[in-house]
Amino acid sequence: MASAPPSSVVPLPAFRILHSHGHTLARLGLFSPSAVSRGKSNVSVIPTPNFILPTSRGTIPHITPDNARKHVAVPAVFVCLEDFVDRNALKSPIAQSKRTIRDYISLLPPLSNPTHQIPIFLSARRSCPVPTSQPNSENTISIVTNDGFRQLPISDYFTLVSQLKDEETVIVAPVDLPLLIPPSNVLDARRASKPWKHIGGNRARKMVTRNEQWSVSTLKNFATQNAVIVPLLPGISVGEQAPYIDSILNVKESTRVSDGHSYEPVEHAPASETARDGSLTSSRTVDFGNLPSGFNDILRLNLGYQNGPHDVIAAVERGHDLVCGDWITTTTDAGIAFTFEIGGNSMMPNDKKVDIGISLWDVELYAADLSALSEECECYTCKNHHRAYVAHLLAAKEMLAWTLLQIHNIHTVNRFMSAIRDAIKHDKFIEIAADFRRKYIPQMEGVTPGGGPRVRGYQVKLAGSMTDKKLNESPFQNFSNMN
Amino acid sequence: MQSVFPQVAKSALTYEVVAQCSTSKARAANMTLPHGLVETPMFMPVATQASLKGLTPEQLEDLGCKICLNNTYHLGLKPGKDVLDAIGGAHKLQSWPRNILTGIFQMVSLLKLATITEEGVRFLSPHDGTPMLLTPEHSIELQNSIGSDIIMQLDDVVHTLTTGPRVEEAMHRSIRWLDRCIAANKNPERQNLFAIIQGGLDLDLRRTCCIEMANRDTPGIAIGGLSGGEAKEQFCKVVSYCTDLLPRNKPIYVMGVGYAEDMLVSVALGVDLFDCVYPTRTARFGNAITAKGVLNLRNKCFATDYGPVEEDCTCPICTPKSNGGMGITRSLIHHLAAKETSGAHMLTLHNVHYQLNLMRAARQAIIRDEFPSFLKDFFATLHGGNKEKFPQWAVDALRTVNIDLLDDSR
Repeated sequence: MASAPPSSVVPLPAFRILHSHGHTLARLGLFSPSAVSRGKSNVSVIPTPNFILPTSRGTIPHITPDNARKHVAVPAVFVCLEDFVDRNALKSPIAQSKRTIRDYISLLPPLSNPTHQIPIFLSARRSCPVPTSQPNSENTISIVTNDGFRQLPISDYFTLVSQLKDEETVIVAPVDLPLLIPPSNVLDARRASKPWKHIGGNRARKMVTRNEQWSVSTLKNFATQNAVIVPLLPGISVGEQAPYIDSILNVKESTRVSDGHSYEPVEHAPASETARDGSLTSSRTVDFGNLPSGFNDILRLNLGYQNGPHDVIAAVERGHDLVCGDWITTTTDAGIAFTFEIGGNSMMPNDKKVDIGISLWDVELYAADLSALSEECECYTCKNHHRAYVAHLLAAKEMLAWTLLQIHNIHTVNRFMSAIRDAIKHDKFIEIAADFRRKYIPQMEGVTPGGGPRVRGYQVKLAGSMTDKKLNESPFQNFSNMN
Repeated sequence: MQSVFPQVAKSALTYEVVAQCSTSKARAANMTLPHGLVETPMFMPVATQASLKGLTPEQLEDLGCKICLNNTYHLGLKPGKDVLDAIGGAHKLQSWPRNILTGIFQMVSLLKLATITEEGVRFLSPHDGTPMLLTPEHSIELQNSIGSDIIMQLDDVVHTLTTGPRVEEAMHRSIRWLDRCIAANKNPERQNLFAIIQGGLDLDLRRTCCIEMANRDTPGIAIGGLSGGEAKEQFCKVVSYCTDLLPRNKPIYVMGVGYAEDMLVSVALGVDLFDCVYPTRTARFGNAITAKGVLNLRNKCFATDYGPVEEDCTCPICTPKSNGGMGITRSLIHHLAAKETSGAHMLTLHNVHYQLNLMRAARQAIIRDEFPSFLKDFFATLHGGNKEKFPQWAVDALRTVNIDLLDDSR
């Protein structure tokens, strides 16, 4: 679709809208992270709307790199530095390695397309960050590392990012948000949609100043080479953050003048709506309609927690181009295999609504069910295994259960996003979205009678964890205690 | 109870020795089972509950694994016999096209909970505390439902260090139970029943058991009741004694052995098959098995070690990205070990590859008739060339088969 690059030095914009839907804000686009090779034929692009998958400590949860390149086609991954740094960020193993993040975590190109480098969104904090005990300061961002709360100097963040990035890395600017009230249970809170409280005057002004400083530095440091994501500020009205928005848009002008080049960094500076914590997901309601027109044709990334495909459809309707895919991992952990699809057979008026997936914890139901997890699915799991095996693996608490589920669930969401893009292209999005809502029950309870997989970093909740119930019961108990 | 047998078992395998070491008792053989060829000596990874700890069957097959273990007892509880019958066996359950061997279970580890009578083993289920009775007939019935290519008899195991009449009783009972197992096997034409030699550390009891069980002409024979904490010298003595007595045209399997040194010495003593949870379990603790010894990659010193887990290793994780591998560094494993399961999966790939590859290399050395020098190289590499560090038990055991590790002449 990309026309051949002209001989001029003007790089193509990071994001191009290919088609807009008439009645919703939904739009079809292409996002290319690299400013340098943009427009070349072998460049890695993300067709949008799409999802990015948050990694945990640099790995796609449950998936080894060989399975990832063979069986899991993620459009892009989200990697956070707080998973990699310790006391002194610049002396942490990843800094001393002098490698790119892609090299260090062995994110390999798909076997089916060996020249395609999967884009990496590199951020300071997780997509659903754990609330910290200390606030950010003017020059540091508060992070949660493997050995506790740390303050990461913004300058260290820039130094690290300079080392870790490669052409296909998208740089996510650090974000200053007020201290978050620790939710009692992160997993529950992710599902809740408590609105942001309005942020008070002083804190709002501080947020505007800091984010302005941090976002503008990020743009100036990286936007000539890479796509940069800067946040819109949740909890503050568009009017209050107007100075911030202006300054982001102004970088465009200043860079144009000072560099003497025709780079348009703001084109590489897509707006992101950040819900920094699951409990605050109503930041989704940032209204792009009220923003200056400079924001219209740049990428919109939604880092909020999506609670299933219905939320994704809603985000696409609001004009979001990329959503976070942590809900896929949450579903996998819950032992649920997705069975939904969009744009398939229409509902009959009298049909009952169906679930978006099946809980394979139901051994009674699936113990001898030799059918694929989902009909006609072409993923590795469905082509080679069956419901009975995954149900057995869950019952036996074998780790392979979650590997097979994750492969299948990512594949299903890939198909889902692809069908959405197809529908937008053919002006059918409204119809299939309505069909989907008629057909499927919005939410699936994460029933995990036997508990999930071993609790890992991205599930850890620090606040109140001493008193809260454990996520998983102890698998063993004293023999004499049993009946 | 007087045995009304002896029974004679049928065979569903062919075992053909392709090379015999001219110095020791080591041999390379081709064992053809219903699900394909197994080249011995062979290490068999343990997929207790029909899954090799996080690896897909495809990953396991890509490592060159031709036979893995499942556990009868575990599969009998989950998913249970009815489900196995409905699905059509364990191969279909786990989509594994290669061979499966089913062990019963380490009764040793549950002995405290079990009462053994002539009828069978009575114990309380560790899952729900209900009383259960496992008889030889029941164990074979379960293994028939599982459909494994090699099935093991139910044996009366006593702890290795037990002495006195109990050992002899267990040995005789194991022979009687073997007869009941042979009679109970419904699928002798596609499921090979292996006998298990008992008798503790008493060579006379082992002798009786070897002779009696060899008379039953089972397709293969396992040496059981070992690797339970006995001294390595005694282990080697019993193994060597048994391999001398057992028929030479049958595969010999030592159960529960998985350390590289133990396996190689046992190969020299005439053993073909091994199994152990060690390589997969230790991977989950962050330990990598290498030719130079075991590395605990959780150790801080590996945090900034950007080399592969093992230099020149050809496993999927150590092979550089430029050669189509994953190019995983020790630093990355340190970063993931005990924190993300995929880190454990990667080390599992490496460790299983190490075990399989070690046995492949041993086989090639036997075929070239260079097994003694292969052993010397192995021990030299493992101990950094320092002969004083060679374990005495290995030196002594190998001397009994004419290999002197301390002698440099080849």
